[in-house]
Amino acid sequence: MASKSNGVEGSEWARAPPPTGTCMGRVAKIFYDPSDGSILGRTPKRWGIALVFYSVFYAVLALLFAACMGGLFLTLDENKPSFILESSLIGANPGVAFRPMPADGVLVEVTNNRTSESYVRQLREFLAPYSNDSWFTAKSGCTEEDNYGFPSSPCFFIKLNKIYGWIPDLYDVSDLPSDMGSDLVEYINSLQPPEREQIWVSCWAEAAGSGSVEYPWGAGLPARFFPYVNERGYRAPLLPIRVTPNVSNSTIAIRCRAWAKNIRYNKSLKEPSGYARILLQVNDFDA
Amino acid sequence: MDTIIETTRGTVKVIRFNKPQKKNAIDGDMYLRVTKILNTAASDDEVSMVVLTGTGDFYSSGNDYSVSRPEGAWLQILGDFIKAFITFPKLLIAIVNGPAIGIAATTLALCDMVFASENAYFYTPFSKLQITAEGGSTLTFPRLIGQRKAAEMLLFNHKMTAKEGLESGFINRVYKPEELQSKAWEKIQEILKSFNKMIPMSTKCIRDGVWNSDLPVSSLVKGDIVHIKAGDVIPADIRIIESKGVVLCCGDLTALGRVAGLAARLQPEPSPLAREIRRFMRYMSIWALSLGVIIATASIILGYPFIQTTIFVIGMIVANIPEGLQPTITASLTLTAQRMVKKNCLVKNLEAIEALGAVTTICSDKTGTLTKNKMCVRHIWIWDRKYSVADPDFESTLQVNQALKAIKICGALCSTAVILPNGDIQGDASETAILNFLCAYDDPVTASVHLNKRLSRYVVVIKGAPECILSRCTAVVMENGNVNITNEVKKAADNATEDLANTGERVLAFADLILDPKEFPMSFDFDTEEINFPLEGLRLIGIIGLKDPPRDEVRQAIERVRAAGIRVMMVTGDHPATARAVAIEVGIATTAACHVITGNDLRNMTSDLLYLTLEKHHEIVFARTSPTQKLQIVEACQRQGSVVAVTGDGVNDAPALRRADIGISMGITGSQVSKQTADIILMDDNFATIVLGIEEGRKIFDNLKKSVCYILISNVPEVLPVFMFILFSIPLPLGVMTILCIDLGTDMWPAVSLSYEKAEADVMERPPRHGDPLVSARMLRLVYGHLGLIEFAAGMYAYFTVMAEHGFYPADLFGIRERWDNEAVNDVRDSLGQEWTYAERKELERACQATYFIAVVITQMMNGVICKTRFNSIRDVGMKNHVLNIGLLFELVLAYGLCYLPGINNFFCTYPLRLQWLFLAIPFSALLLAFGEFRKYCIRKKLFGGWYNEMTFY
Repeated sequence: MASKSNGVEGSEWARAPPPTGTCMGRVAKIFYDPSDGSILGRTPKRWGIALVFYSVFYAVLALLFAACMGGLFLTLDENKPSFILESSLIGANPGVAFRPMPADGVLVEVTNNRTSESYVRQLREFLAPYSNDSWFTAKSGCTEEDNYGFPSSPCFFIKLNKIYGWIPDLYDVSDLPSDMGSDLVEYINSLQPPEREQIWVSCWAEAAGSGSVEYPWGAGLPARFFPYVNERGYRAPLLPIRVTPNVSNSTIAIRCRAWAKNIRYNKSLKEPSGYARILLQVNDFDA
Repeated sequence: MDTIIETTRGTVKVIRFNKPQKKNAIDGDMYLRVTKILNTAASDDEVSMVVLTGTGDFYSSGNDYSVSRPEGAWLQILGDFIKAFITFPKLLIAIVNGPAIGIAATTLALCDMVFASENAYFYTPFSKLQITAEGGSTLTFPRLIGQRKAAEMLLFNHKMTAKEGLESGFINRVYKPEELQSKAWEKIQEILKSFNKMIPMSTKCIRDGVWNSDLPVSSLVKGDIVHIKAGDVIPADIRIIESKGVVLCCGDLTALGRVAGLAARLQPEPSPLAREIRRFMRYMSIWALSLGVIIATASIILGYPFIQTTIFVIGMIVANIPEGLQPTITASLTLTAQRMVKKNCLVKNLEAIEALGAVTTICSDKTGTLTKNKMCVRHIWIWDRKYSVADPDFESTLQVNQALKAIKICGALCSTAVILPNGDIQGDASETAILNFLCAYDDPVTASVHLNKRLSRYVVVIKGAPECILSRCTAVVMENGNVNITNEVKKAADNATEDLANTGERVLAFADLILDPKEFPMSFDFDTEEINFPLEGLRLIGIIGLKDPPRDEVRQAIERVRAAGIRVMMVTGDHPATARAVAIEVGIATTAACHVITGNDLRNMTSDLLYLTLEKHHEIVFARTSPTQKLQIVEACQRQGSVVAVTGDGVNDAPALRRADIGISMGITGSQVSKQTADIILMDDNFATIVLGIEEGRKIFDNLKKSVCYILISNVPEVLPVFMFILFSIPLPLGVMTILCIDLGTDMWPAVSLSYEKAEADVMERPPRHGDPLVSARMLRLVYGHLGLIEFAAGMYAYFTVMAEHGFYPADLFGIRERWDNEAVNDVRDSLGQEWTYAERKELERACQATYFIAVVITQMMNGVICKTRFNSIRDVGMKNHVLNIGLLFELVLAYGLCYLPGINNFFCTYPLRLQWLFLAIPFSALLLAFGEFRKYCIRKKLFGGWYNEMTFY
């Protein structure tokens, strides 16, 4: 107090003299001030000190963050999610997806050799891991040999989303749902009982007559692939469908529904569930 | 017996109905009497008001029907009676000592004030008597008590009790019957007193050669010759000619009028707080808008639809604009103003109280503000010693001293001041002081004994400037007798005079001379115009030093103000020596060599020279200055960049008060104009109150800084997720809706409640915040470089936890955005091979964002605790700010409400979280607290070469 009691002597808060020099000179001084050798208002030594202080602080923060993350990973199982099925946000209602994926995210448009080739390449890459699986290699139709049907009647591989621990609740042949198409019912009935352990898949063109769908490998995903428990070398079952458009130069929508008691179906386009929707356009072009 | 008793009490005419045997019923004769009294009083200047009352326990029962009425003239009499009430121009007060019936009640409605006893009631049974309601009651009653009540009384013969009358506004007060007269008269005395203040000033003047002893000041014109004497208010600009004055200018054209006009024209500078807020808001807006532009550009490049981009930009802008600032400012200012009123400081302009905290220079008045505005005898010099009156031994040492006795006689006799019957002393300040002094040490009654002595021989007593008196003296009173004056004595007296004058005291010498009764017999006719008695060869009694002593608290207050780095300058109209002495005494000047600038010096100074003088000398006393020069001083200080507070009480101080950043007027001595112009009024006229104001003002700014700091910290975890989203292509960690929840919801209350924080230890030990902005680089470093990042880390940790627990490990999140946000992709794979549909992913994203939000809220709660103090440890301050405590609790409850209430959580895109996700931010909160305390510890101890002080002490 005493030292401050009268502000006559050059107190620490005394104003600095007004800056001198030209405008440019003052700007230049911000970057480098020759009077005390400061760069951007700080001498290299002060910069060094600042660097040390900030690094220490950030090191502490990073350490804490790392420790927290480390703690988190300690609680995680490497193979099994912390929450599965209903307790996880993924739920127990697998989505239905297909390959190849549309190039623009929406529409599979085959307009020329190049686009056709890109879809074929995508499928080839997608199916490469399956090349050692006997059940896969045994199938005919919609294979690399027939160029997966591209470009005139392309094949789409329908798949179910992998959900850890999910087991399909299959329909009994005696208790098939009423909204199941008669084609599929007929097909199921024509199968041998051991082959009826499948998640059925049915596809149809949303606008009747705009395209026809064939099931070269049959219309079901065998239940023996389930449940998925993240084992090494697991490959999910696939089901190709071949779509032959009956109209040209226009888009057709194919809807593929997967049938199991615990696959909820919601036909809404806004909150889709239990089906995949393929938008396909095959334009006339000189193959 | 007289039925109407007319008495006069001072200027109050009292009319009493005195016919108790007939319940004071009014007959024709009484009507005529009262009418006459009222009409006479209306034009009688001696009467200021008329009071009506009655004898016994009835006020009046109305018309006396038992007395025969003079037919025909009756209506005329009644009409005149009522008219006398209506047209009476002065105050008419009724003391209703009992029931008032009929015309007695209707005339009450025509009185200005009515005091009634508890047993009174009001009864107007006109319809019962089948006559029209008289006395204009159909008009006056509804206006007084409302249509409904009036109808009840006038039509349905309702008897209104005193209590009901009070409630409905028919009467002013109700008292117990036995107290009625005394209490009512108390009120009347109060009214009379306030009358005296309202009486227009008058003056004595000669106009056209005609003597006018009572001319209202407002009707003075140029050329009138006014007579003035000591103590009079000068009515206009006059030129003094032989103790009379010729009016030169009046009204607005006078010097004073021009000064008042000047005040109205001057524009005050915007308050420092307003300037600061404007600057802060400008920078903040630029920052927010540029961020918005960056985000918008990035978002559009990434292919987001326009509407999504807009939401991003709005979110960014909302995140960066400190919405809580304005309510915080208002809350701080209002709270402080309320607190200051309790401390005798009325804040008229709310922002001024904050400006007071920023003040760098105070230009203070002397008289009344620094001093008590009461002359006192401080020293007495009696051959050959100086005695201090304040000395406790003063009385005992001088008890037998002949000289003191003589000084008492002389002082009492040679005085123009008079002691009023009630003990007050009226007269000029010095004379009053002397009499006061004598009263304190001597009974005034003894003075009268000496007066008796005068009957046998005359004594000449004289007092005046020491140099005049000394030259007439030939002797001096010593302790035991008289001694002739030698050169030595003269020198001693001169020294004493000089000594006293140097301490700023007004010096008076006393002398007397006993006249020879033979030469001046009892019948001698003294003539003071042509002096016919000796004024030489006097006997010197002693010298008195008078002074207006400084207020007791002022010295300490100035010490504190100076410790706070504020410069105090004294601006006074007083003599330089007096000013200097007071300055030294109160601590404005620390050395006798303090720089004194007189009004004359100032007049000859160029503004540059004044500027340089203000720079060169820290302690400056302005003496003999005129009011306009006060304005000049204020402007010079402001040119230096100072924030100036000015105290003033006179009309002529108004321009300076208005021009100053903070104008401070005095509640007791201050003129109306100065109070109107001022920002702050000190109700006790005490300088020490200003110190409280400074402390409060600084506290406001400190608390604002805390609040802004708190608000800004949450910007970091709000803005960075968007950058993470854009730069690292991870799913958005914090949604726009949740940003709004933080900024407009959870952050609001704690931010405002920081203005309830108490002042910190260093508040009065640092310089005024000259050029210290609301948001400094230090604060930005602390917020963006330290605290905000901790919050961000907490949020990201929470986000990664929820993601990882669902199978998306952090490493796999980077770069996932394109697939994640693509609605057509229905099978995004996580680290454990599971595939997620769009809806599932978005639900997970919402849960992550909600966890991030909760993490931010929990760390913000800790930040609220950290921001409570800038300097002190939270351990010393404690959690005593209950508004903040409740606010923090509210923040938590609100956050949980936003997450768990169904419907609400859908709207705000939050998610009902698992219990364990609520505590993810705890380690980071702990780090915040630890770092906050460590930083403040370093600041207090100035560790690391004051590194944290320099870098983060906002």
